[in-house]
Amino acid sequence: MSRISTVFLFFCFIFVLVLSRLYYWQIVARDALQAEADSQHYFKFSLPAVRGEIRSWDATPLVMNDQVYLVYAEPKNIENLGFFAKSISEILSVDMATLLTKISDNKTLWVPLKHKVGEDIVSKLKTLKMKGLGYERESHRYYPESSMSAHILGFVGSDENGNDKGYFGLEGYYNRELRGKNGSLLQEKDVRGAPILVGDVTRIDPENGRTLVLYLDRIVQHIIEKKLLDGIEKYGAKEGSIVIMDPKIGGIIASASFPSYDPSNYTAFDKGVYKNPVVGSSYEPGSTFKSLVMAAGIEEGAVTPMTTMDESGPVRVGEYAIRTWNNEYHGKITMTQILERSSNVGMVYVGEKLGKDKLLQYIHDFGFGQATGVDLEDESSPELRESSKWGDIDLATASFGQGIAVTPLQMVRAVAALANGGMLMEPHVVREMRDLRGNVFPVPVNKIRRVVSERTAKQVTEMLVSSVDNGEAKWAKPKGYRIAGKTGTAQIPVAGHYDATKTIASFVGYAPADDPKFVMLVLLSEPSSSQWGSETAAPLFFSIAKELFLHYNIAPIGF
Amino acid sequence: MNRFAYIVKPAFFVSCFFVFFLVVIEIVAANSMVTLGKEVKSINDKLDVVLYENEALEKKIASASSIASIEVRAREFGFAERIKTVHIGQQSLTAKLPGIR
Repeated sequence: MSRISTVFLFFCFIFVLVLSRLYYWQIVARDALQAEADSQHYFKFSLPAVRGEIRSWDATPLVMNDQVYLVYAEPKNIENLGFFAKSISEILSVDMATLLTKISDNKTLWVPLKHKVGEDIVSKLKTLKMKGLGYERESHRYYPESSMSAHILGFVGSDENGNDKGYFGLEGYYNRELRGKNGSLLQEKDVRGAPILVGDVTRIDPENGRTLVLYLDRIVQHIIEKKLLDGIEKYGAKEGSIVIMDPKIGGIIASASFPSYDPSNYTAFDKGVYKNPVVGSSYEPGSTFKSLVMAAGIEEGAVTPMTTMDESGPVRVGEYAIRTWNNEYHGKITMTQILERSSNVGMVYVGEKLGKDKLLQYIHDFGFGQATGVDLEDESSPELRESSKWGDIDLATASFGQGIAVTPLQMVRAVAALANGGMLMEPHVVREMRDLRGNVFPVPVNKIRRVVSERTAKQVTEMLVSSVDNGEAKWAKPKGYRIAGKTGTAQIPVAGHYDATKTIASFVGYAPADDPKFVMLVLLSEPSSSQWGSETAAPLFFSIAKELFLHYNIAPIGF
Repeated sequence: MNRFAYIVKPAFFVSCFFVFFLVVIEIVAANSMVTLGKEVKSINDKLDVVLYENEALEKKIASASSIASIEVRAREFGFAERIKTVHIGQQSLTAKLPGIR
């Protein structure tokens, strides 16, 4: 009996062993075994979404996608680690010791070696026929126009997870629309890795990013970039910006700033140049601001174009004496002549007639002290001081554009309101978005508010035409065209006081005056050949305007 | 009863045969579809190659029609910077009599 019991107990023991082993394989190790079975039966991979393109107004590509690869290693399948590392590191131009460390870890199934590898390098790797080396498709931005409009476009870098992400400009602002949404594919496969058509398939299609179509005209962009570079060199400026806008719809036709960078190789440039100065940097506008203060004065009925004032000498404001730019005084002059001669004394008169509250109200209505809402990531706006902090001297200096900080885009948008009959527009770079199915999503044209009446806008336009025809820059103006504009020479504030030698020279204007096709601001920082806007920014403006008249087929008067 | 047997029995056998026939068809079809997976993979691979070639060509076209490329080629073809612009206006439809302005 005892022998039978022993055998019985032995079998019970074996039974318990088998049971526990079954418990382990079916319960404890279930998930791992399921995953291993899935990997043998299914192939699953992410279907990456294609990042949307960026195109100019005529649908010519400014930013496209180029196919590149992620090269990865599967350490378990590598036969000779040393040989593998030596062969691959030479071709990929990566440090051999670092690569060897990455692939030496047996526990790692998959190791990324290098991202964004070109087709030519991958072809070389494929000729090696190395086991344990794999390739996964990625995309990379390609710029057919090279570094043109870099500040507008921005660039694509990586986020903290290594995924593509847009920074600055349009790539940053429209990152969500451009990146789309990745899909996935899970499909049953046979022993050779071919898909089994009657097997399980779960597919989520990727949603490719939308394509942006801009207002930007690449021919105009090319013209201004070339002219700006030439201008910076000719006038010995430290930096410069030009922005051109369609005054009727707020579309940005072109925008350039130097120094700039190459978005396809952005890491080679100082981070300080990534920010777009047109929307992200501020300056004191100087005499270009007089056009807006004059418009406010006329709108409020404080002055008319023919109102006269006595410009007999400097005007005292508290302890300060405000002089004209050339210290010349002409006695009785009209408001139009104030703009022609760019008289600071005359503008103080207009500012006083307008009053502090009204002046501040119009500064606000013209869009200063607030972001324009342009669709670029790097926009910022300098703040306006509260009304209570404005003294008499602040009112006086603001009337001729000093003591107030604006961005170039704010300035050109405000003047555009004079060009289009009095409406402040929301500026936009993107005209519409398109998806791969052909759906078009237009970006609506947004009128913010009416700042001045059409009558006032027309009157100020005539005054600005007169300012161009009879002002300091008349020598550079192209014949046969009516151009409305104003020069500006603003001193640069340094540590709380104005530097006597450094200026920002600018010119803002629009043409043809009767039906403006464009409004443009040219800005040169610290020109050394001459500090005056009439001798630097103005001739540069007119030089570009001549090209634009030809580009837009605008004939001179009489033709 | 006999009449009933004459109808039911053959109907039963015909139904069984029909079901068996459908099962055989399904097995044959599924078996042949399974092996089509390799062809599908081959077609997908060819499609990838064509799509890649398309992308490469699009890139070439965009590059060749860029402003910088056009500028270089224009110079090669002998085009020069514009020196002077002449506007030609519309001719007057009526003649002016002498002595009248």
